[in-house]
Amino acid sequence: MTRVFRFCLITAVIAAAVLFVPFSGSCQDEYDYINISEPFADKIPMAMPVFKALSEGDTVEQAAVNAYEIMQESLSYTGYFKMVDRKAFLVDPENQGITPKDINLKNWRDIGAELLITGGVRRKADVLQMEFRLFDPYRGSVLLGKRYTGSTGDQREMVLKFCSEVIRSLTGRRGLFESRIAFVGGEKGQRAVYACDFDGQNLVRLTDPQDIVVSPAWSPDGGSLAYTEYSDDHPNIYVFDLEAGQKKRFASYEGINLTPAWQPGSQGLAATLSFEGDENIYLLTGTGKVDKKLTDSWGVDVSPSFSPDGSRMAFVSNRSGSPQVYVMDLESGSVSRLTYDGKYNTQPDWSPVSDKIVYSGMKNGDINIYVIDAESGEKSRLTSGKGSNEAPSWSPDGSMIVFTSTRSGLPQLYVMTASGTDQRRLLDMPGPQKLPDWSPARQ
Amino acid sequence: MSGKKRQSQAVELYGADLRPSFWAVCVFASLFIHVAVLGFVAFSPWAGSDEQWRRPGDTIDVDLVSFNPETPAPPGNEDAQAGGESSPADTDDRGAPVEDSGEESSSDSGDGDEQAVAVKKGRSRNVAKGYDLKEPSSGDSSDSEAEEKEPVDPDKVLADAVSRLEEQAEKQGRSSVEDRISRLRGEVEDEDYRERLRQRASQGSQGAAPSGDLDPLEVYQAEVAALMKQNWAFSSDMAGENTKGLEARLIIKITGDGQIEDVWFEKRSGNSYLDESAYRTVMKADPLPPLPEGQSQYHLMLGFTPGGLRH
Repeated sequence: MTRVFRFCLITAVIAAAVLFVPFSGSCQDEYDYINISEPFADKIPMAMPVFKALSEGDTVEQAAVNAYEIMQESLSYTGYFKMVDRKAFLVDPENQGITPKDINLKNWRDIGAELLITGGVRRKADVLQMEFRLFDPYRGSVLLGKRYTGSTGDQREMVLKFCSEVIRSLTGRRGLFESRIAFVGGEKGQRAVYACDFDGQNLVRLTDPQDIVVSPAWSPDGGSLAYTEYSDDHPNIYVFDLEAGQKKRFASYEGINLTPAWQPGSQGLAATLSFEGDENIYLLTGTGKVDKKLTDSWGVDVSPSFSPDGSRMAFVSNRSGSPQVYVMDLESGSVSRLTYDGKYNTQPDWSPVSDKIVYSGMKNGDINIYVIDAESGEKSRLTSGKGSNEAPSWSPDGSMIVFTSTRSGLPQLYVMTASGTDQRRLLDMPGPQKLPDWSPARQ
Repeated sequence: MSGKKRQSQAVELYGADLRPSFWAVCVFASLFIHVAVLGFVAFSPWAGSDEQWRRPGDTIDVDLVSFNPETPAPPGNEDAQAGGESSPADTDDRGAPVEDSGEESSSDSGDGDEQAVAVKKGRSRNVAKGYDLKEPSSGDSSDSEAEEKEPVDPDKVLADAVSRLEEQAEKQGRSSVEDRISRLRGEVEDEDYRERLRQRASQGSQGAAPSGDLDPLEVYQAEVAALMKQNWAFSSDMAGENTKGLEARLIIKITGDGQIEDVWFEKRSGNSYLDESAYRTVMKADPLPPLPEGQSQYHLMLGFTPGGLRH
């Protein structure tokens, strides 16, 4: 009997399986499928009606206009958004409130705005209060709502804080709007380290003019800059403290002291030294003492740049005969060559958020910016056309790149998105600008 | 007595000789009945639509997406208003901005599935409220609707674009301008193609036989694909990671008059920005053109793959 029972059971299971397998499969297949692979636009349509003055007075109106302009410029700067033309608006924002209960999102859906920002400004004596909201007209939700209070002098900072929140809520990344860019500016003999905001605003000269100043590099906390300056007839590394406004000699070993790069997660930095006769990359402690010799080859090893976790380092070596980018695993000490295309690939900068490395490479006599994946080796060119494009540096969120270009004559600073679009000049400053370094996000 | 004897014999015979074949018959009969019952359950018209397979009943009242001006503002807004009347705080305040209404919604957007479910329900209600929809009876409603949204004059678009690009020519270099012009030209031509498709499909829906041998549903699919593409704005930079190979897959339920009655994720891509952008695209494309005649509803699966963006 048990044999018969088992037979029945097995038959039933098989029958069930035969019946149900094709049936559950057909759940997937019963829909027709179409594929959409080519987006029509690569920028998100965003609507931003003029900000409202919520208290009386001309100064409030002016503050609202200022805040509006700062926000529009800052958000457009990212290259993510396309601002919907004000003429297309279906409602007059002058007659509309800024809170969810005052807004009919259908009016914004109908003009194709995927995002909507409203803002209001009020002012009492010297105190400014601003509130901003980010709407998703299609989800019908408020993605973000913030109110900021500060003195009138802090307006830009408050607006940028909201911009930062907008980008964070949409992409999960932050840091662009809190960052600065350091670079070497000025004619020969008058060179100095300068710094400006992410968008070229608030330009300041940091160091005293010198004959030769090169390779400024931000510390991980953004509080100081290491750079190389010629003094006593050889290049030495200095560290400039931004808070104190003072420079301090950091490393002045015999021979050259070049291309400093801070190691994330430590106090130390890597630099090229030649006190042993050959140019190699060494790891220095926070006080400038040699901690470890990282590279040891007969050629020149320069321009270290660390991966986000500080476990790997990209650098340039001419050990194969021409300058090429290599990657070293600091744990094992193993080195692998990353670039093979062309005879001249230098100035690597490792993305602060991924395994992408930007560098400048020469091909057919043109110097351009390339991006390469440290893992797969897949690369693409980001710049083309007139002039040399060199010295790329990532923004702290990995969304943008600053670089030097001679496309309009003198070397000047330009910025672009991480995929090479929206290239434009960073700042309007006379004289050459070189060797930019984008800071980490301000803490 | 003899009868009784025979009976007991028969029982014995039944127990001994007939047993194997009888059980075999029983098994196959049972199998046949099972197959028949299961088949009936599986393919019967009362088995329920696929929605019941997917939509859990207990989330019906969670309406995360409906929005209309009548609903009271979240408490944070009241704060914002009140804050204006009270004397403004000192400057230290700006370091810690007051959290406003956004907090709840933004944390919700992280939850994929629940929201997708809520969207389904909220969506079908929203259609009535939020959208000022045309009467389903008018055959070419979708045409005028779409044209209202985007009045496109190909020549003007091209001319505007060229003049704008020429202004930038000094900065960007001539070659890139030419590239962009040719790309824009391609887009304009695409627009024409879309227009032709739409006309063809609306002819089909008005009862005229579609030209050529094209299946009306295939034409409709092509039209939907073109409309989706037209409405899709996707920034690969914003997506952050390389989106090549990722796919956000949604299923839409289209009613006879072309309205998207339902939308849900069949498969999320893993990149929340891509998922959101696909969802918005569907919302923007609503309403679609009316379905071909004879079709009262239509489920269509849309796969958004931005792989074409990166070279």
